[in-house]
Amino acid sequence: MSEPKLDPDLERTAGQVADHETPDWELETGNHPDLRGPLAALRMMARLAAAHREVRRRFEPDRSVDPGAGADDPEQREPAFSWGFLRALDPIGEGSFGEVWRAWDPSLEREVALKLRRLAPAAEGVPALLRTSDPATRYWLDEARKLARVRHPNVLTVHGAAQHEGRAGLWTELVRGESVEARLAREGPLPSLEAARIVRDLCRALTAVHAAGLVHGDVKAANVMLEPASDGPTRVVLMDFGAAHAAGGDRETRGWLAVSTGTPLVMSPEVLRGEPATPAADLYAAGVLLFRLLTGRHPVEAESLDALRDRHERGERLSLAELRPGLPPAFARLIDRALAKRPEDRPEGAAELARALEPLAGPVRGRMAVLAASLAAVALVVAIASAIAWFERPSDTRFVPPERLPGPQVAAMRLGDIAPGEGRGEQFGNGEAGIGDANGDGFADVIVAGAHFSGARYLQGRVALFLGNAAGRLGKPAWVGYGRAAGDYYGAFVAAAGDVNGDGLADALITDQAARSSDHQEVGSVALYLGSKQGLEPEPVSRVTGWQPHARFGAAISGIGDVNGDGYADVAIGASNWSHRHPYEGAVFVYFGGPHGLPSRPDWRLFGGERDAWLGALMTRVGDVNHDGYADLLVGSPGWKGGHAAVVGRALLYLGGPHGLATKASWSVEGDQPSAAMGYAVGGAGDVNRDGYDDVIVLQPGWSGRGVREGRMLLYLGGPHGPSRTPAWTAHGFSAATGLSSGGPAMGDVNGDGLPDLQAGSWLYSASADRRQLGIAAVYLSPREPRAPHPAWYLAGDDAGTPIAAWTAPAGDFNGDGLGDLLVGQSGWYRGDQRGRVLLFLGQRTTSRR
Amino acid sequence: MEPTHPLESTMVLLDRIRVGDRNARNQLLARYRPILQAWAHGRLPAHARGLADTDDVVQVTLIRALNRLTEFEYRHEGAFLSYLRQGVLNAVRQEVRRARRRPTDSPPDESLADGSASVVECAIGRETLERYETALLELGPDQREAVILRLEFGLSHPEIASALGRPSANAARMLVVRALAELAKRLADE
Repeated sequence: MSEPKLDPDLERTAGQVADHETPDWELETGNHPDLRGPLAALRMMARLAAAHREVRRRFEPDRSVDPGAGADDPEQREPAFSWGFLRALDPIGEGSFGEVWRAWDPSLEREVALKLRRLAPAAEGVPALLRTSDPATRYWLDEARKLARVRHPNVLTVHGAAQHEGRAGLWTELVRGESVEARLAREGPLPSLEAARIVRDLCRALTAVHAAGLVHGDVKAANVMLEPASDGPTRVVLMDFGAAHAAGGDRETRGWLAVSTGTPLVMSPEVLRGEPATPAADLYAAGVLLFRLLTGRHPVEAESLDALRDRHERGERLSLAELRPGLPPAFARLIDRALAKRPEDRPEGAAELARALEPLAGPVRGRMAVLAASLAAVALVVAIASAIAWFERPSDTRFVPPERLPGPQVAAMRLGDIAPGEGRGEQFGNGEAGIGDANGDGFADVIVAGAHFSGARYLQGRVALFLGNAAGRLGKPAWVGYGRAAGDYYGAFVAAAGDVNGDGLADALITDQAARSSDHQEVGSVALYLGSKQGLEPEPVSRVTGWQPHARFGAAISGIGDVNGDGYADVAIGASNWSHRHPYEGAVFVYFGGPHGLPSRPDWRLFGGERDAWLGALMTRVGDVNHDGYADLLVGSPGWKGGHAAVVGRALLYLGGPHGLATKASWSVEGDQPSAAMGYAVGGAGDVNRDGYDDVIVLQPGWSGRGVREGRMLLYLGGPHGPSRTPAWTAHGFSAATGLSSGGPAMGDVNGDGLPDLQAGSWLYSASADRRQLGIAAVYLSPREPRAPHPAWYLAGDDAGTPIAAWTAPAGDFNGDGLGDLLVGQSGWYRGDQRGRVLLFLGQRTTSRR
Repeated sequence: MEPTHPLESTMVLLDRIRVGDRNARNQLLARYRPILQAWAHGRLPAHARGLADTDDVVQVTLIRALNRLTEFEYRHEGAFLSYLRQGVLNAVRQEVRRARRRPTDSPPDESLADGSASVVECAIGRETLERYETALLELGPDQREAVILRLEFGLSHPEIASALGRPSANAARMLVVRALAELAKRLADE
């Protein structure tokens, strides 16, 4: 059934309100008195929207990086490599042409963008080192040199072009901002005023380019940048002249170049037919950009080049009026003219198109580069004056085992201490880890995170280090680290790194979940802090940053031991949303430790191998499974499907060796139930059966046996050829709808019987039919008989409002009594201003009564 | 709001939370907490803001929602945010009632005796806000969610498309435009 037709004037004004534009209310009401009531309502809604925007603006985190907190100094940074006199620092992007890097020009002491042409494959018999850029490079360099003569505020400034060691490159100004493509992806169709302004400025750029005798050849949203300016309107910059060529020249070459290097959906009909691109083709592309900015679509779309050509021939174009009703007719006519099939029917030049857009243009909104959020002005309310009636406050020390847990338990653990968080809402205890002996005093130390901590910066995050001691008391933190920027969520994940720099002190890994790249994309970063006599060094010795937005880089981090036998512990970082060849296949990156910390680029990489495989969700150290003197790596891929009809998940083991990790997995295990998330978490169990081979644990939190998705933990015994094919022992979850999740199963010896024990936690555990989530932490004593699947000791929460076991992690031997200890986070706990806490349980010698 | 993808959508996060995925829980909290905090701050009157912690109002709503996952029938992301918004709105109203002192010999005074109002009430008036809320409820669910997501939460059109299962950003924009026009007509007809 079709929707009733709306009054076009009402629809147009509603469109302006939807686009956050400001209609001329007086004029509209005067011209349409019959719409007075609805227009007044729209005006009210515009004010409501503005009020909400204002509140959000006050809440927007300050994303500027504190220069005093270790901001990146390009002059001091060790480069990834050198190209000629330039020092390449960070990759910015890559494409079919090659790569783009942020680089440092030491001669002029400035940052530049360095674009390197991809090398051609080595010819047969030619060493790879002698590869050179492909033949089209010479055209590219020639045109780059011509472009360097174009000086216009809306054209990317080219500083130079050259070849070094056979590799062609050009360096340009470094434009900071976002592309129009990114803006479109983020916001959808733009307000008409802004769209007109962007293309107007683009046409000014094209005027300068055409005047230099060049044709751009690939004008599209991805090649137009929006650079915010602190003291004026946003600057529109025309980039990427990879397809640029002289307007004259050899017709056949130019035609080949046009089709082979441009983007078909923005190509004019004549270029698609194989004719050379002329300035009129650039104008057509500007018209396509305008169409797309207003509708999100290309005017002519097709699945193949041939189909595209056919549609152009038949004049089949999407209707602007249908996609963007209410657009002023003059605007629509201008776009039609730019998209004319014949070049001679288009505007005579880019300058004419720019002039025609001038009266339709408004300001281009820049993305705020620095948000001056004064937290004092938006200070949140300090204290709760009255109880919120929805839940009762939990008691501090009462933990009552709920009735649904099976079997007797042994008193394997005792409560040692509790440390509350500080800042409101910080969710202290969202992550914790025993990191080993960081200060060399013989006691294992622990770190605890409150990633939602807001101090000087909103949601910057905080991590605290507590030094182990004979009393088993957490006390005050010996070291505290903070996120550098608002919204960093520093401490989203924490882990032990092992001894990365070989100085005998344990080191720590901390993730900034929302760390952002220079163009404000969330890429994540992991910082390595070295152990020191005071606990941890104040600043990280290494910071490894992701390079793919929203890939969850750093959501899994772990020291994995010394996989290459060089005496330095190595580190694995998971990015379960990574897209390499397949969308969201996941990735694991391994960085070899060394005396100066970690390298900036990984030494070993693994990808999921299929779409949505989600490789690298959670992993911890497994040790030396085949007892060859090299640590090994176990990874999980819970979204893996393989040849199965449904997702089953799997885990894979890669053996360490003198050259690092093997490139092929020596062992793998697949899930046996659909959607049970086999391999969601993997880790080492220690040498459970004391045969000299470390054993491994694979978690399957969605597994369903007795009830619905109670989850389970599978133990595979290590051996000379790797782990066993079948699990030697299985532990089950506790009640229906409970998964198992934890920060590493290996507890060490909790009860003094000489065997390493295991732990697992689940904040989803519920004790009764009302399904209120209490959370549970459990310890499984090393099995003397394989058939005992239940925990020997457990701790369940008693308050559904603040379940325990937001995270559980082995603490190592915190109090130095030779027994393993356990950390249990309760990030939802609160009292007064305090938010979240961590509980330390100490192992104690006992006799199993199973 | 974070860009959505089959692995990042709220539906998948909720599903992963149900199997104990702590990362997913943190991600859900991190995703919705700031946006709901800002929204709640705009709706809490000054005098109630002095008594109720905006943080806690939102935190409690989110925790309650996560504790009652089995009660929520997930349609799409927009519906989930709309559900959370209603939860926070109920919590805000509860805090406002709690903060008032009602003399026993006088009926409840629905006006704000000390004159302070929320940011949004200051912008459009309390009575108008109530009429707006009433008219919103008369819209169909998709139109209602489109208005809420665009006007109150400031989601972009691609985000709204993803949240409401629309095929494109432009389709989402057209839904928003039509919903605004429809809402405007209803408010004018009162």
